[in-house]
Amino acid sequence: MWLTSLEGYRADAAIRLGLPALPATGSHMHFKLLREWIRACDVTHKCHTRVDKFLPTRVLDVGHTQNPESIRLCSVGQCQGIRTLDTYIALSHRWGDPEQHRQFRTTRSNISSFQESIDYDQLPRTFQDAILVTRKLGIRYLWIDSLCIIQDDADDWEKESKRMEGVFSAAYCTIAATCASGSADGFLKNRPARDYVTKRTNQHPDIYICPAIDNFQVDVEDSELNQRGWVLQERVLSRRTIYYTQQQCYWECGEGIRCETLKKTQKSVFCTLINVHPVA
Amino acid sequence: MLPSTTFPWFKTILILRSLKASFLGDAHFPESAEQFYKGGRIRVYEVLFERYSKLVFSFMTDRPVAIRGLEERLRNTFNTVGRYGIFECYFHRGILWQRSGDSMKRIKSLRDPGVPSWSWMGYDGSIKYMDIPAGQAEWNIEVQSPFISKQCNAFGEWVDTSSVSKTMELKAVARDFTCNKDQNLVFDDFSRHYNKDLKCIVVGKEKETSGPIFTSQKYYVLIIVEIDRVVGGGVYERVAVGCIEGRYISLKGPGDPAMIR
Repeated sequence: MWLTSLEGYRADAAIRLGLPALPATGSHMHFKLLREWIRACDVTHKCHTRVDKFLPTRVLDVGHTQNPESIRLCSVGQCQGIRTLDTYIALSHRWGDPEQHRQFRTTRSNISSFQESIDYDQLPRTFQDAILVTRKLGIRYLWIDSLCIIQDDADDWEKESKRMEGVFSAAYCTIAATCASGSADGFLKNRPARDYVTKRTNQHPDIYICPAIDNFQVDVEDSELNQRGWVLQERVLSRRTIYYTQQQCYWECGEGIRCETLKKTQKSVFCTLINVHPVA
Repeated sequence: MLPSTTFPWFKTILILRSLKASFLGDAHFPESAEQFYKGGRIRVYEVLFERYSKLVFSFMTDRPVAIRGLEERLRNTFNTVGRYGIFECYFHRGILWQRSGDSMKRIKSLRDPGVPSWSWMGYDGSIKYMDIPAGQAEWNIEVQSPFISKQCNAFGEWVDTSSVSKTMELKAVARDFTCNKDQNLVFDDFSRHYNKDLKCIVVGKEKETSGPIFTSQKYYVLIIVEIDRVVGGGVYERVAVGCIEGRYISLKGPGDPAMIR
């Protein structure tokens, strides 16, 4: 929606704070915002609390910046020196068409090797992006279904499918790779450039006029990822979720939804979730 | 311009947020849900399962599995037991689901042989729940849920070692009924044909209003077909759900003890 005229504009009118142009995904500014979302939620909400300390059976140790190549699969009983295993990020994603997206998964034959190390370059793009985001958020552990469940072991699969309530509700945060069509696609993508017009005057700070792009309904609810059966419980059970969509990132927790454009929904105003446009 | 799909999603987003609130110890849940949605708790799981039934799977056999986490959360929230999309505390309502789209097909080769014909998880296709306002029905005690019987363990898993059935069973009383073209029957798979007479089980009925005799009182029924006969009675499968007037059902008499798989 474009404002064609500022006639009648008053200096105290409600022009909201916002970002006309989004920082590139993967950039310093981008992660600064994600970390701030988490910090604000940690400090001012009660979203991330769980009485029992649930631990997934296995997690991916994403290594750390000093040794970025030290990625490996960890079983809870076998990992040494894990102090904060209860803090992990969960990935919600589509595997994609197997013809286009190479299936990278843990099996009985490769699990020992994965527990030694996993070569970053062998990982599909979506998993690489998830590891990058996890590191940038300062978290050590990541849960990905295709790696943390032994895919060709029916007993393990059955056992793990019963643990999903814990996996997603105890996660520190869930990353939803909404714009990834499959594991080879990745989700740290360029967003469409957003045009904007700058209005400068002497009386007040610059104002930017730009198209309204906040649309949680279209970007998240109507996305391909959200049409998948497995994803419903991943979404409902997660206490905090960061959605990577084509247009922008969204944050969702019990207190509401935040947009990367800095639009925030109020706790009690749900109509705005449907048509989230900046106030002109 | 609002997208045409907006309005149902308003409710879903509200429900999702209310569910999240419940897990955060929101003292106002489920009242906060009921404030916007009468019969909040019931509608919460109905909205979720109706939505779930429309979602896609690479392997349809995942349908009973991919929601187990959410079912567990709902069981804890409702402080109940249950399985296969049905909660003990809402047992009668839970089995009154109906096909909402195309003909439903039974899913073949499910991992879990316990999935019964009276659970929508055993089918491919979208569902909706019969619209029975809260407090407007009387439920039939002849319908016996298996979840609180000795045949289920604490997780609602069927562990009946006394019978040969691996499929979870509910017990009820099968009754004859007469077909009438005005009846509101919704068949799950309308391509199926039956070589045995269909019977019904009464799940519940409209609450009687005071005043003149209510001759057209509606009964909520499952339509079943016999698949076997054992010493205890008939073994049946569900084929349809419906709402028919009591006068079309053989309500008098003992009926036929039925095990429905």
